[in-house]
Amino acid sequence: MLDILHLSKTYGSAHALTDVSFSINKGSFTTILGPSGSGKSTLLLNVAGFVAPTSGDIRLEGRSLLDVSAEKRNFGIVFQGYALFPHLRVHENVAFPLRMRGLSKADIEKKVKQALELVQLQPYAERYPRELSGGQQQRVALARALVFDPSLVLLDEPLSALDKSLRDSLREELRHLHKAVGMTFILVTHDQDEALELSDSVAIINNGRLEQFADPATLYNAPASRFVAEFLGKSNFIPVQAASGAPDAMTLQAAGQNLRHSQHAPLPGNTSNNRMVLALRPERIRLVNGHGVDGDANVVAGEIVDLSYRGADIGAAVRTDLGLLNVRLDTGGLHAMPRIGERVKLSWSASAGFLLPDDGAQ
Amino acid sequence: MKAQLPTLLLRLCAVLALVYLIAPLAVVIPVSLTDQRMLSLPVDGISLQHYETVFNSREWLGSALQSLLIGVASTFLALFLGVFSAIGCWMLGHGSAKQGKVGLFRVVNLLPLVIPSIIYALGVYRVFVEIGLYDTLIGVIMVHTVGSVPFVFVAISTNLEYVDIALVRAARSLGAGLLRTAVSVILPNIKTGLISAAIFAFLHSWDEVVVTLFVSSRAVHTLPRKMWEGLSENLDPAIACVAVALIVVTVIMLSIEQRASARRG
Repeated sequence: MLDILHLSKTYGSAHALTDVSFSINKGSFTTILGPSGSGKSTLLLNVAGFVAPTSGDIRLEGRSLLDVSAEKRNFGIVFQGYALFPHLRVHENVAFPLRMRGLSKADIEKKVKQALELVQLQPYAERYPRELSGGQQQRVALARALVFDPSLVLLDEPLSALDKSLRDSLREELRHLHKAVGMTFILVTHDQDEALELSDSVAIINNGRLEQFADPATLYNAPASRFVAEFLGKSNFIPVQAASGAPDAMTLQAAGQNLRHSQHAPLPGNTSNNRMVLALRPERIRLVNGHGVDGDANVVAGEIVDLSYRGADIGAAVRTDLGLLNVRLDTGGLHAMPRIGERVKLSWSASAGFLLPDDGAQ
Repeated sequence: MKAQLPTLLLRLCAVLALVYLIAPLAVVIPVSLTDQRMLSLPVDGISLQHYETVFNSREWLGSALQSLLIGVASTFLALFLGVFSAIGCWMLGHGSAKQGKVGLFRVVNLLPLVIPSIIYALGVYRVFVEIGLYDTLIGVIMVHTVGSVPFVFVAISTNLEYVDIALVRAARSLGAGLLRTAVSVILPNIKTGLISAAIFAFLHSWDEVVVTLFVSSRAVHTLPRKMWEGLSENLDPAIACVAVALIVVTVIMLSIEQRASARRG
């Protein structure tokens, strides 16, 4: 269990991290997700021990790590540029952490062999890093970070330097590897797909603050802020002027219309200033022809102003009284191809959207 | 095809510059082969008699041995100091804090190159007389070490620019302390810089004369010092022979350095 407690880091007057707290379960795969400059790398450097926090604490199994130097933390780190030792062969690179720990020659040989088998690189043991492809170097870095049974594995944007197809296959491999070794993985990335696909839980960092810490499904279906809803997947945001009624049967006022809304998660804390938005995922909106509308569904009329064909689905931009709404239409469920300029009706159920404070994120 | 006039002028300038640089060195070669008994050009023919004198002279050979000893010892000391200073500055220079202090430390490492050696010599002379290091081998090794440190610092710093700073964090995350990181990860990746640094450090000591004159008298007499004395006391052509030997050693060392740097590409 790794606990990050009220962690703050300032550089002069610049706040890189402000009061970040969350806990990572042993053996889980956790992603720290944020745009560049959000402070996610600073957080990683703090956990790794290369940067000391201004205030707050980092605890592993209840013990503070702040007075433990980077080399004593026993964390395996995969760096963005891999940082393989150019003067050492592949097997020597993997053996390095074991040599530092004073293991016997026989033990080192055995563990290095196992680690190279794990990442399927045994045939390349005698090569130098510069003689390997990017993906192979990546796997050497993984083997080197795993070989000494670290109490934590930190991955700093490990896939960002690779091309897309290689990235996809390595992502798959990373997930299998995590299952196989059962260690605690912490991945730092700006790639939302990577985060959703790989993680048990995701910490979303923005402007040095923790926006939300939850499992991917909760983040997607019940974002805590407009930033999260926007950063993770696509959302429509409908400005809401007022809300009334019980949480499971609310009436929202938006652009002069009454919308039905219900949600089980707590409403945004400060709704007194009435600055709220209804976040609505494009795939939760349906195209209707008057029939097949549920009793508690909302219906708005609009005109299709743009279409983008993507094979499995079609993206449609529909101008309505509530603003421009992006809708994802499943091609399998369509009777006819929509056309630009066509008048349509859109519908979504009362529980499809999510009411959020409008923090003005774009 | 006829070369253009500006091109010809440029070539002429280049040749003149080379002559200007090399001629004073080259002139000692005929002088060392003189058949006369004074420092002069050969008159009736060339002779190797002065080389014979040098190679049979206990004094000259003793000086050469002393220069070699001082050169090697000060090279090792300067390498130790300069290499770790350079690695330290490099590591700290990539951290976010303490930039000002690192800059100051860099300047201190380069000071021996900037301060006129005669001023340094004066100060060291006073101190060495006080603490009993005047005219001792250790004293001379110390001043040569100080003079060599900037050469080592610059050579290593230049080489470190080609090394990925992430290697330091990688090594530390894998369990290596700072010293182990420097020795078993950084040093193997700056081998060419080490060769250059060692050669420049040795060459500095090999021909250092200003400070040496101040801090030594009888017990320590390096080759350059003995040449200087020889020039002011008698005009023995043997000096030219020693000069040729010095030049040969220097040229050999520099070509090793060139070859090492070329390999880095």
